[in-house]
Amino acid sequence: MAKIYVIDDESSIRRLIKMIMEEQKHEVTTFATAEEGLKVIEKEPPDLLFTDLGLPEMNGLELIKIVEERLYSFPIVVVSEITIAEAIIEAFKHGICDFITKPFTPTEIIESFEKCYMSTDTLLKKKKEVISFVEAGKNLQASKLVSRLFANFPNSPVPHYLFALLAFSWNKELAKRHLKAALALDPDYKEARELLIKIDSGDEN
Amino acid sequence: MTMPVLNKKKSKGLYIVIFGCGRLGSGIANWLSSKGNSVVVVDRREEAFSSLSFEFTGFTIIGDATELDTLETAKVEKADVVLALTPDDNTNIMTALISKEYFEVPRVIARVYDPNNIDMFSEFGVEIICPTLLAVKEIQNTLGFIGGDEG
Amino acid sequence: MKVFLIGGRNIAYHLARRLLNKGYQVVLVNKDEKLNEGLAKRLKKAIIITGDGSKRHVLEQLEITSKDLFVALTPNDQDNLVASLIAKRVFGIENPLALINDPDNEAAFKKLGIGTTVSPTNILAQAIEERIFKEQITNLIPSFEQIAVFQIEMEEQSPAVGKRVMELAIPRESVIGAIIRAGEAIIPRGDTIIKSGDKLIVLSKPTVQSSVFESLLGEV
Repeated sequence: MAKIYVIDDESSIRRLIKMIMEEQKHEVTTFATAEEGLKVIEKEPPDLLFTDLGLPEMNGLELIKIVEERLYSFPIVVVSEITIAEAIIEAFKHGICDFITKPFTPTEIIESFEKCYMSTDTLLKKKKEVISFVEAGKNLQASKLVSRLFANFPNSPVPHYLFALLAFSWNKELAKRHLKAALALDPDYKEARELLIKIDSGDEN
Repeated sequence: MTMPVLNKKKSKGLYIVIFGCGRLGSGIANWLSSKGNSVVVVDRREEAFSSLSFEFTGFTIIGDATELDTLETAKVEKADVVLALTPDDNTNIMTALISKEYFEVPRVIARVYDPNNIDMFSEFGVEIICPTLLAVKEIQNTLGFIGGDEG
Repeated sequence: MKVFLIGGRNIAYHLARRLLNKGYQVVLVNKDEKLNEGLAKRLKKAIIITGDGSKRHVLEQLEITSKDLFVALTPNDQDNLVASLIAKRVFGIENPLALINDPDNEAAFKKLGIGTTVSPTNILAQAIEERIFKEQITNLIPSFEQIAVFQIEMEEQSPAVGKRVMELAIPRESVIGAIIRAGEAIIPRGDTIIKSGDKLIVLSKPTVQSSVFESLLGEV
């Protein structure tokens, strides 16, 4: 089950997406404005966000830019009546995962969710795999996998963290550098911060 | 003439395009959207949409059902069901036939008052609802129930 | 053989007049009773019926046979479609002719078995486009959707004159297939120089037409 936020000023669209995604057994919270959505995102980011572009005060693109600047890692799917190529390209430039035009079919919503959410899902699975390799001492396999993750998820802090985990035993400085990179991409990345503290306190002792 | 298929798929709602937002169109739109389907209602007049209920979850498009452009805007090619319910028989027939033959929509239902053309359009795989025939049948049933001496 | 004209005001009148002069029997079907009175006065030899020609019960009274000609001319595409479908399926007329108001509907009509259509909008649009694209340009295969073939005549001041074919800034989706120079065809190579008076036969995707004209003729 994923936690999904929906921002759209039309109540019928909010309710429609909620209905479609709840049918898929996900937890859906809806907002009529970007401001309201952002407030809740700050407290608790979702696993995926559906947002309209044309919103009353802060528009969708501004919201997307803020999410991009603050380095949130959840995928964004734009759902909009706008079909102007420039607007779509602009939204993609700022890191959205997919663009759906209104009116949409339930299939379009579900497939887009699967495409965007599953990609972060894959990353988490790969992460587990790398950790199990490191624990088993299979450093070669682990480093191969991590280098592939760097290529596939260039904007994610996870590959940096995994590389630090891998380098931890033989080059603490290198590990620290990657942990800092991971934290630069996501300041709230707990595991990275804990590992960094662990290395630093190890140095003092 | 019932629509059992509309409730068949449980896991995912259907994508349904309705042409004509009169009393029948809006009533069906309200009902289908309350069942968790994604519903698009098309009408030439914006005022027509006022008959949709507050609970309606779906889309409204202002457009002429006889223009291909309108069908494309409504994404008819992705529809599971198309309902042609405008007040004009020929418009309904044309919209239904194009949805069926050109956009290959699995289920197409048209309301047609003139019972004359039903056979011909059924050959295309379009389902026809004919209020005139329904009323005739209804009256026959009622009379049969009361009198019962046909032969 | 009779000719049935369904709907249409002026077009129906002028068509009927011509057909009657050529000795055909003409039947006009129109909803508008007043209009029909006027038509009856002007077209003495025609049979004029008041009724909706897109309704089967009306058409069934007209003794239409599969050998007759059937033309649907109303201002509504839906009525023309239904009328010609009835003509084809009920009366067995192989090629009923339908007027199409929204040119986008042409492909859909074809798919439904009404292959012979006329779209005044299309004809006018094409005529207007040809006016816009100067007189030097002749559209050789009109209204063929996938590719446009043009004959473009070079004048003294055309920017392409004096240039080699390889130097021309024409879009990738276009090619100069031949040059007609002094009545003879030349198959151009990269180093062929364009001269004033040349007629270039250009093939292009319809979508890049205007940039072809612009690079060969200047402002279009």
